[in-house]
Amino acid sequence: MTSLKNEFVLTIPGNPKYLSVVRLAVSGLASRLQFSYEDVEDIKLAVAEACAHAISHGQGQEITIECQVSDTALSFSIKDKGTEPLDEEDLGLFLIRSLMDDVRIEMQNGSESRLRMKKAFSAVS
Amino acid sequence: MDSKDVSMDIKVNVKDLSNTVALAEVQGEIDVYTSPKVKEALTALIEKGKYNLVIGLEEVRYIDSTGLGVLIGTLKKVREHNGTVAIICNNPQIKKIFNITGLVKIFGIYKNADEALKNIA
Repeated sequence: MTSLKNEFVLTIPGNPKYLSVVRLAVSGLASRLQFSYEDVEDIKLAVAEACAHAISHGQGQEITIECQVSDTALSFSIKDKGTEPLDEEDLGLFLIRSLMDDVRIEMQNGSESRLRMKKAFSAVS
Repeated sequence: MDSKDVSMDIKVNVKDLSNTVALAEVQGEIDVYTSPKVKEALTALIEKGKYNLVIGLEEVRYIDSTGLGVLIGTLKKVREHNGTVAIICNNPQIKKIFNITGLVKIFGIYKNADEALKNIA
């Protein structure tokens, strides 16, 4: 991960074997912020689900995970190069919507898609 | 194959709990990458005629939607033979995932093998 002020960017090959690396990186970052253990676990699962979805959607092309720490939330944008509409009925997407705040799917110019999500600090118990 | 590969953090240990019930104890993290190993072990049990399964998740630190899919698929297969699946799970985060997805209503979830065996036999 390279640090750009409060932004972190991680690009991984489109192979599920690297999902464990993403989980380690994301839980490492989230646990250094004000989140409870339960929140860290939620964030880890949601981001890993999004990455698994992105690897499948991007048909094995590399994916990029952008994380941004603001005063109010930890935000993620998971980008893949797939152009087909995302499967809204996916169990992983259901989990992401259940565990995170403000989940949005964006298709951009028919060349890539992004799944954005946040975990608000105000939700910290 | 890459010269250096990411190790697969998953193990499944299988043993008989009774004449009709088999236990599959999973250790590690169940995700898109590792779940085929879990599926393979559970399918092998079903092919041996073990239709009442206790799946131990006590040593599982993480499960994703693919892992849940393997458990659901296993339950569907054993039900075709009038069998069932009981889960052993004490991890609050994994229990939470079972709750969110509603799977807690489909699987029996127990604290240990004795409790699972009492309810499955």
